[in-house]
Amino acid sequence: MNVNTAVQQKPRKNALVMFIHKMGSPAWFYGFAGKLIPWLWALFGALAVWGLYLGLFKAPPDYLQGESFRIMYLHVPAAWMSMLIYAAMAVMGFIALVWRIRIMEIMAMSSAPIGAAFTLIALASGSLWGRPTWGTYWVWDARLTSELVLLFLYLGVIGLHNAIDEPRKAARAACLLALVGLVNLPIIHYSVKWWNTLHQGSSISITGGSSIDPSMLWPLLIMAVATKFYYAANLLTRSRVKLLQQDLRKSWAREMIRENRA
Amino acid sequence: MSHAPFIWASYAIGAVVLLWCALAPLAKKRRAIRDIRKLNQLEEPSRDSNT
Repeated sequence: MNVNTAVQQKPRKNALVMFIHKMGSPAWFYGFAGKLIPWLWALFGALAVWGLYLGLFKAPPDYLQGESFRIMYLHVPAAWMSMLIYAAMAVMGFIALVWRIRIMEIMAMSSAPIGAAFTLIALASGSLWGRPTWGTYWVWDARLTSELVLLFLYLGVIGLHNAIDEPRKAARAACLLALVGLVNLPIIHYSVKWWNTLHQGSSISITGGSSIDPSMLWPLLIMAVATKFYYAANLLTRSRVKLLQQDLRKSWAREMIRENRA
Repeated sequence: MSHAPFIWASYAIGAVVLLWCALAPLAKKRRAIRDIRKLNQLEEPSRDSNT
């Protein structure tokens, strides 16, 4: 590496370090998240309206499932989010455990109720889709059972976090449980391949293309992006509230309320 | 069998759960702000008497 390259790289590294450093400041995080949240909600709202309009009113009925396939525009993004949020929670939990970063503990714990909500939606909508398609609301099939286990894992993380009074100790214990539960994610994903299940296999693959017609696929992809914005907006909202609850007596929080900046 | 009740029931459950999940932290935020205001009010007289 010559001297010029080293000189060019230094400011970029400093900017990243500065950002991570700033993230550690509760006052800065609170303000930064507060500015992002309205935009994230707006993007979620616009994409959800667009995706649902295309999915519910424009996409043609499925040749085999008829109209009931429209439940897919809620069920599939919710099921994807249930797994993605768990993975995000575990990664943030790992960072929180290793580097003791408080904001990561807060964000990991704020992810759990959102993940549980999406898992509940995936289970309920899947059950309502199963009745007209399979003739039953529920079967103890590998995909459905492992998704139910995921809901219990989320509830376990929330329960453990609420059971310990000291917030940082509570978060560390719950982060550890989140990491242990990570083993369930590959089981959910590969359950339709490993076992002979009633649940259908994937119709969409990042590497192998899609077997869905584009007129049905686009609303699904739009809804998948919309739910990411929902997660981001809700996560930052919940993290700000948790931060405020933990720092009730800290000068930054009291100063902010005094100046009506909350 | 009409599929409409299953479709609308799914979306109704989805809307209720997502709405609840989005609104629940706002109530907690209001409570936290109220608590901080109380703490500030308790501190204010002692601050004034010190100055």
